Amino acid sequence: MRIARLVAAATCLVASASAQTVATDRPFEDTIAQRLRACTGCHGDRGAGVVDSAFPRIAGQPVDYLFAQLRAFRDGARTYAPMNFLLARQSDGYLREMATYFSAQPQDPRVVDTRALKPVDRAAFDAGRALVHEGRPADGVPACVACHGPTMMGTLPAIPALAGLPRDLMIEQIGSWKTGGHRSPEPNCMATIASRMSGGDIVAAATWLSLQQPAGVPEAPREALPIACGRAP
Amino acid sequence: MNRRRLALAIGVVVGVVAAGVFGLRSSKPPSSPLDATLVAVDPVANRDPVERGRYLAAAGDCIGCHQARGGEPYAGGLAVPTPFGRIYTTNITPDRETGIGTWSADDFWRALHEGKGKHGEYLYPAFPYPNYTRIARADADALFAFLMAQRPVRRPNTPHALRFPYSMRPLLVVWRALYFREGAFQSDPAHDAEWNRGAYLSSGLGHCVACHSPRNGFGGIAVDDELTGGLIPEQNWYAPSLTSHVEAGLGSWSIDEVVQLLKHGVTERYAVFGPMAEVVHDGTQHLDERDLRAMAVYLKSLPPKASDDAPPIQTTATMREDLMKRGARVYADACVDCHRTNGEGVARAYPVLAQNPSVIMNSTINAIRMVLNGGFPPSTDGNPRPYGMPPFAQRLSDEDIAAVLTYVRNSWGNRAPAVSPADVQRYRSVPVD
Repeated sequence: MRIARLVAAATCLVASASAQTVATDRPFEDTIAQRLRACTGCHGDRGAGVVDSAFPRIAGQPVDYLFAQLRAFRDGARTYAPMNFLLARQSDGYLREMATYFSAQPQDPRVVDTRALKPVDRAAFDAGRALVHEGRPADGVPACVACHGPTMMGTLPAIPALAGLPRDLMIEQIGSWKTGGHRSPEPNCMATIASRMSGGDIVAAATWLSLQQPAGVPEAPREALPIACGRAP
Repeated sequence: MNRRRLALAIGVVVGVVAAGVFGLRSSKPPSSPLDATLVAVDPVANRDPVERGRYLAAAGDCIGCHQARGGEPYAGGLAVPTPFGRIYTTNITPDRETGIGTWSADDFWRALHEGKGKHGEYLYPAFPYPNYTRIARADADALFAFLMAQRPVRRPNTPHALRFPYSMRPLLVVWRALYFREGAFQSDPAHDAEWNRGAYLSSGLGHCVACHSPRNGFGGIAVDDELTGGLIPEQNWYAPSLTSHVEAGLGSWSIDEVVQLLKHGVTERYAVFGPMAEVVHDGTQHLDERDLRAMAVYLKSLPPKASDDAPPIQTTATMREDLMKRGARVYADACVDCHRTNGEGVARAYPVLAQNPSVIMNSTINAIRMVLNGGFPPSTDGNPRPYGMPPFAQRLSDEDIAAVLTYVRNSWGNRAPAVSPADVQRYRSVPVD
């Protein structure tokens, strides 16, 4: 009897020990999500962004937009050293697969919800809302929504969603167009528009946009845009 | 070091006068026919010259240097950082004004074989002619035929940005006297044809030695130190030993595993990263498996040497205990999903960390930079959709990275010196691109 109990106890011990080793390692799966863990460290689970981070959400962006950016990083047309390094030896086929995967991923509302809890510069917020929806025709600044869609969720095939992107990132990006750091394909429409925006305009638009909850999908392609824009070949 | 270099350089100016007299004698290119033993095992011997040249250009990874990021193939313009300043690679497309369109096959041969430009000027040895001098004339001609068949690209060469006195080309006569011997590949009758083919490719066109050896203050490599591993100057990656040293080199590798790494960029245990990812992507993945095997056979025959960078036997230091505990926490949080609890990784996806030379080698630079920068192995035909590692520079502090690396270097049978946060901090600022 005692021996039986001992054996039972020993069996339990062995069982729990092996259960423990099994439990510590998550099962490994060959999925595209697993292959792209290199991306989600900064861009968040499934690319939906990270709370309090300046790295952009990539989930739900138009696929051609993501593909063009990935290629631009790989080939050095867009400069951000960590991305240039990561993508240096990846094929077009794989970059296209990355773009397709992230383009199809859902949003995570927590990213913007958390931002909304912090104090907001109300004047910048209101000015930003006006600029995004109406632009400033007198200075030749078109409304953002004219290209990026009425909900700022982007337009197919390659105009990005800006709703809910990090404020600092948008200030940095639009600022780079203004100062000539951004070498987009010609005609470089965003450089033209940014050159007509003041620093205050940029901060205002970025403030309002960063607090918009991304929802829905990119708009269908448009025939006419208010300004001619180059596209990556 | 700098003072020594300067002293050497100044002392050497005297020699330049002599060089003017003796050094610039032009010589008729000697012929160096491809060894018959080697022809028999050359998998591309029967292809036409342009196709042979294409293959050989991959074997030498010419494009790795002669193409800038986003630039045209073979049009050069890549900045190569060296301790002496920046070298800009040249345009080797057949453009007549800015490339090598006016070169003859003899000119091209002289560049590879003698390290001299079209007008007899000395070439900077960032162009690895101490290795290319072993290329057979027939192979040089095939390479030239291939380059001449490329689209001419107009891109004027960028002047090198070298500091004085390195900016004075004639001074290279001294460097050449010390570190360059013009020569032809001699097959070794003590070995079979496969070994000799491997030696020909590795020591010539493949120029493995250029990265995988320590360089002295003058950029030279001592023969005794060849292939024992070295820090790539200015690029801050450590190219590990390729001798059969068990911990530091290829001692624990099978020939098949070497072939797999060169062909696919990943093996059951390991993955290439840093500059070698580029070599596999542009070069070795395109080589015939027989050639890769020949190179593996040759490399695996190299005995360990005194200068191999072996990890020292380490006694447990008390300061490590904190680091180890903190490292275990970071590992459980950031690493364990891919590299697994016991550091065994996942075959062909995530490298093994136990007994991994890149993890336990004396130099901590590769391990630190892998954690800081992450990376994908190259996308190759054999592994087109590689698994990647995220960069942790943006997420982990110097202390966390030092701790997790100390933990990894001292778990699962690994025993290597602790990594300090100061080391991590030092490589944070190294340009990644």
